Amino acid sequence: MNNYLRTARRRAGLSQDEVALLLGKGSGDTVSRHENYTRTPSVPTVFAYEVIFRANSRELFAGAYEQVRRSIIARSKTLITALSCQSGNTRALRKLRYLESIVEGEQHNQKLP
Amino acid sequence: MTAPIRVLGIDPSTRNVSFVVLEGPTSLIDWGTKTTRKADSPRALEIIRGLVDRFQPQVVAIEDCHARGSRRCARVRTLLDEIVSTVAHEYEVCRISTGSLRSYGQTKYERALALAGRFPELQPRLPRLRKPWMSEDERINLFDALSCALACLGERQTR
Repeated sequence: MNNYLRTARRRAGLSQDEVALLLGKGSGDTVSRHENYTRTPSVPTVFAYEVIFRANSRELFAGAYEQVRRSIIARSKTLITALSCQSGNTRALRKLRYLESIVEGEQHNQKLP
Repeated sequence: MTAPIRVLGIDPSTRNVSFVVLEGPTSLIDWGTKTTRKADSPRALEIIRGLVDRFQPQVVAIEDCHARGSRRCARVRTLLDEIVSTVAHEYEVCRISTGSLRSYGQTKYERALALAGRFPELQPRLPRLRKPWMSEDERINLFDALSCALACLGERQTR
């Protein structure tokens, strides 16, 4: 399943129109489209769903998250192959270690500025 | 960590098709009752096909209408067999006998009461206690679908 918006909404006991009102949208049609995977919500809407349903976006959009994770891992493997040619370079070695940790699915608590 | 098994529990009745989707024994993903307005097996099959396509479950749980103790009418028996033949070549079908549902309660109402306690989101769907002169409330089918799905998960765990 691409997302669990419908599950979260029904557990909360809210209607699509009520969620739309909380999101600041005109009607429940937008919520319906998000629930039926016909439209992908924007970043502010994803955060709004997080606040409304008190769940993190990775849980709410579990299917979409998994799809993105798999494609990132596939691209990381491609980049690892490309960087392997420069194995003597220390910067390339650092990048390789980082990319390998992505492939292994490690969680990095890298501090962003 | 392995993903929990997604089970679609279906309970068709005279004019409705009730369904629940479970991911593991504690996570209720979706539930509902879709109406066919009249005794319309092709429409019921169409609804079930839509549900299976949407949720793509690993297992479809339905009542075993040929088991001892099943009291389904001829049309629903045929419909249940048609569901199995439609779905079986793509998905695993788990047929649950009425006897194995009794672990949740002896009567349908007792089962519904126990399941509404376990899944609070279903409490608004709990019908009133049926009196001898009342016909069966259509909301009870939702709890039957849920008990089928839970019994199926229980059977898989004991394997």
